[in-house]
Amino acid sequence: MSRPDESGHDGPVEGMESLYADRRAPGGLEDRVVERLRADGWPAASEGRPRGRATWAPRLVAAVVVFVAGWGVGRFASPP
Amino acid sequence: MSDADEPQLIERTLGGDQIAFRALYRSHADPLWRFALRLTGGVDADAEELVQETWTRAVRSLARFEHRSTLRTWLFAIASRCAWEEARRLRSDRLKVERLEIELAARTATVGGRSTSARRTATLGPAGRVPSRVDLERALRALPQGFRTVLVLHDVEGLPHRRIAEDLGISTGTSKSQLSRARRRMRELLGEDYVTT
Repeated sequence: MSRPDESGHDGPVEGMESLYADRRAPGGLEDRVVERLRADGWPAASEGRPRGRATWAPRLVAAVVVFVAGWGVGRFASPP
Repeated sequence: MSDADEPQLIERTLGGDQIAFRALYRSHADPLWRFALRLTGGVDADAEELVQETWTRAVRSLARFEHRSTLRTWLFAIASRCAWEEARRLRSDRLKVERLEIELAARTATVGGRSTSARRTATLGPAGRVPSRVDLERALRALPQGFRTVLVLHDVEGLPHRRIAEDLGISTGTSKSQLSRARRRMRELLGEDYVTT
């Protein structure tokens, strides 16, 4: 009737996997979730931009350009 | 909404775009609702609270979502953690109540008083057959929240113990022992002779 699971005990009770399979999210829940998010301070509460986006690369390029430009101006504009 | 749209919707949601968030919500609404129902034992009010808390936490930390898993997997992990934390809170409250009851009993020192810790463990339904859906729902509802969380994650969602432990912040040993006790409790509630797979 039963098979042992990975911890050596009896397997799952039959029928569990289909529990509530036909249920759908109640109407109105979406609005209540949005309301709660707003009450929680969304969007300000969200922590910045997603990681994984290469925001550091354009920033680095911009920093190098500014540095080189500054150095160049300083190097050639100053009297010998 | 296609999967390809999801990163864009996440980005827009972070910027406060309500339409983008609603699109995200709708694409996961029904699976998340069913998952919440299982975790809460089919109590609609609790499932709704769990879904709301899940989205609140998800949006709060959406910037940390790294697309290593699907958003749905990530949402399920957050919901599992919420349910587990609720289980711990309930257990802590119950312990406090039991402690108070013991103190009260000691103070009043009544003779022949009734046991406050006695719990009825009535079984559900007749034995010797596959449990009906109603029996299963009632048994699942009667399980302590912690047992139910691990049981649903392992037996319904098919997650391995390693992953459950990771999601809930527990050891794999705890996950295994919770599952074992949860199944035993389910069988007690359903009657020993119910069929298992």
